[in-house]
Amino acid sequence: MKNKMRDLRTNNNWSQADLADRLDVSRQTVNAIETGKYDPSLPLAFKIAALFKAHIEDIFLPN
Amino acid sequence: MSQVDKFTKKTLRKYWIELGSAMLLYMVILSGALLILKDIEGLWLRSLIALTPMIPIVFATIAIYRHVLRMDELQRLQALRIIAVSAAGTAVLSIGYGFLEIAGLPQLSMMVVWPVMAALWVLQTLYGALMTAVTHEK
Repeated sequence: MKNKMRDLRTNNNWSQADLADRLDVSRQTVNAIETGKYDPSLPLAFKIAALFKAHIEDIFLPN
Repeated sequence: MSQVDKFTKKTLRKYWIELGSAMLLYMVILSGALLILKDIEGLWLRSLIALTPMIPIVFATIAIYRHVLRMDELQRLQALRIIAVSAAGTAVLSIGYGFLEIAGLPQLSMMVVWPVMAALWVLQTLYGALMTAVTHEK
């Protein structure tokens, strides 16, 4: 699944570690989601959407 | 260089405290049990004392279980993969060696099985940690 997480993060001037701290996950998980190697669970996707004040479908896009 | 996030620091710190305490207790109880066993007779009492190191082993198991619960979802998925591969690898090696025993190789104790699984577990964990260290932030 594609996503706009990296763009949203860099727009906020956050490092992956900063975003990981805000989501209460590891930096490795943020990296894996950004690079499309891992698709987050629905609860984590909602958390990401809430953090960026966006809808899930605006961040995560089908391939 | 990759930054270490607070989540990983926090979870690993708790894990090492819990697991480290259990392993320290294990060494103390094991040393005590080995010392006491020299002067004890009677199968039941000896068996009971010989099993006392299992108490901190149970604590270590609980520490590992608690660590898995504290992991994030990707880490938990990776841990599951590692355990599955370790179990499968141990099955292959133990069954393979079982056939070699039929061929004449020396019989090994059941105590060998766990170190084999642990070694496979550690190797995969180190490989995972290495891969994480080389994932650069873009």
